Amino acid sequence: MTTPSATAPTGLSTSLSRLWRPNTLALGWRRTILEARMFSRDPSALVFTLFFPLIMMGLFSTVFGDEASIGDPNRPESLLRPAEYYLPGMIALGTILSGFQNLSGYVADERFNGSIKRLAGTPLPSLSYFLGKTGLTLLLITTQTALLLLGARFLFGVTMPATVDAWLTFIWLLLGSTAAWSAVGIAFACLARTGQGASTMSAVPPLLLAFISGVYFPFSQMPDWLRTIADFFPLRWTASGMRSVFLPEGWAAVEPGGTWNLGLAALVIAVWLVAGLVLTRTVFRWPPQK
Amino acid sequence: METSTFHPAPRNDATSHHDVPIEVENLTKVYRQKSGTISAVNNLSLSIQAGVTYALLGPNGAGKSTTIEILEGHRKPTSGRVNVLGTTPYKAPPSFRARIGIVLQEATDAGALRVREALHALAAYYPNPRGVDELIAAVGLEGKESQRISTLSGGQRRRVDVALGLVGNPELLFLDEPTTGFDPDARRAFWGLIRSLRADGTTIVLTTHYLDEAEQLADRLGIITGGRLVAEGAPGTLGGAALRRPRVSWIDDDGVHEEITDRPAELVNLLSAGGTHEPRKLQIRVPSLEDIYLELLKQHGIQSGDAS
Repeated sequence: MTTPSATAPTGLSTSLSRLWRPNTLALGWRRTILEARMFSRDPSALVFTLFFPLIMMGLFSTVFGDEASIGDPNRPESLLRPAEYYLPGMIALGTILSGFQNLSGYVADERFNGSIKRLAGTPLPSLSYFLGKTGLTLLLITTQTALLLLGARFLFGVTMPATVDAWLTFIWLLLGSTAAWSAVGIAFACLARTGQGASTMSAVPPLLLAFISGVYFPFSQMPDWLRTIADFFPLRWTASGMRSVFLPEGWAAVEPGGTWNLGLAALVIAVWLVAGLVLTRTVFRWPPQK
Repeated sequence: METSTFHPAPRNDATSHHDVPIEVENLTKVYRQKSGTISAVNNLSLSIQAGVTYALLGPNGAGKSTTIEILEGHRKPTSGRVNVLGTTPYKAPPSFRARIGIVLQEATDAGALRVREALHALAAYYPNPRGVDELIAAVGLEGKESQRISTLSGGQRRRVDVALGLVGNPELLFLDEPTTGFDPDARRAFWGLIRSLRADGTTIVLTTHYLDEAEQLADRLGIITGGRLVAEGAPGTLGGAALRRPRVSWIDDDGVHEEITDRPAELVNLLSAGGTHEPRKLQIRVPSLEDIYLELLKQHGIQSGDAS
């Protein structure tokens, strides 16, 4: 009688194939390249995610002029040009665009257009899929921020921070905030009931939060109750953290409490990151149905 | 007369899963919804032998897709035993999915990719993929390799789906309504492809609404309605002799007549008075698969209506 380990002529290849495992990391890298290729062929994503902060900064500089006009008119030496003032906010905006808007839009799409269903029917590990998403998001936030910094420096003449400390703060804020928004973005993508609604829905939170978090308007000029709402979200803390990196020290006085409060910024971002990961772990399905 | 033939798997002998890649016993799938529970699959048992092309037929909402998705590992059964290639699909490791191929019912993914890019991308996930160029030729997409998938016609898009399902060189292939949207020519070509896969020993499970397709391709047919397998058999014997009796029809001054008889020649002889008289529009017809299918659905529609 035959036993599972010693069967027909195909037994050897069959038992070998049963031992076969996909290489999660190598496939994650392949997914990153593929995701980047698909992204680069999506003109609306290029405009509304990759170049959007740079475009916005260009607009602010054009509309408000190149004069040092922002700040306390009684202390002309502290006044900033629009490009200088808006750079931190635009970098913070990039984290929610690349992390949240782009990722949740794509994942929601892929839940409904058959992508995830197809991939879940192949040996591709779900972790490789997520590594691909992580790779794409890292590539996006890096490119987006690099474009913004280069544009700020060479088109608008913004002075860059000179201390290692400032750049370290910049890096953990950038990566932490993008990671938190990414985790929340994937969970958000799983809420959608239809593919159509999802892409549109994922553009709403960045739009609203950008208005109340000190990205488009000075945070100090917001009414208290709006500031309280913004305090619960990472964007407000990323924006103020980025201001601590790029604005002169004296500008801390304009922040609530008169300090940059980086400790609280780190805490809020960390809480969102953990909550987002837990939520994504609970609601994301691979394959998409039970 | 039996109207359905069940072939429960011989479970007590030493048959390994190499001979019976699919064994399903008392499979039930219940969906919970706000309005209550819906049982999509109801105590279904089924076994499919290696190398066989098996077609699942049934009306929309009968449970065909749910059954296939459970076999693929995309859905978890509520109860019952499901064994595919020796494992339980929904919790099987990646090596299980390396041995199956899935052609999805409707997908619009990967539109930004070119045909060859999409196939290469998916091929990389398998240990022993088919050659991409050979596959493109097999599904008749030569000349379209460099075209973005979003710019293809509906029928061409379906061919890409078929190619994507085959790229891993599967020993077990699932096709959910594979030829929907094909023109007759493309359908013929697709049938040829399926026959060549069958000749290579691939076990094939497909759902279709086209009975001619089922008749052309399948070694065995299973008819699902209301989540139950109500009939099973080869295309030539499905439904049993009772549903296959010839039908003689003709017209006379009283109108149209149809009679079902086991002795059509005798009836024609009688009608024509020994061949001296020609009845108008005389026809002897053996029921088509479609006639038998519709008759089976009618019988079981009434039965399940009584049961619930």
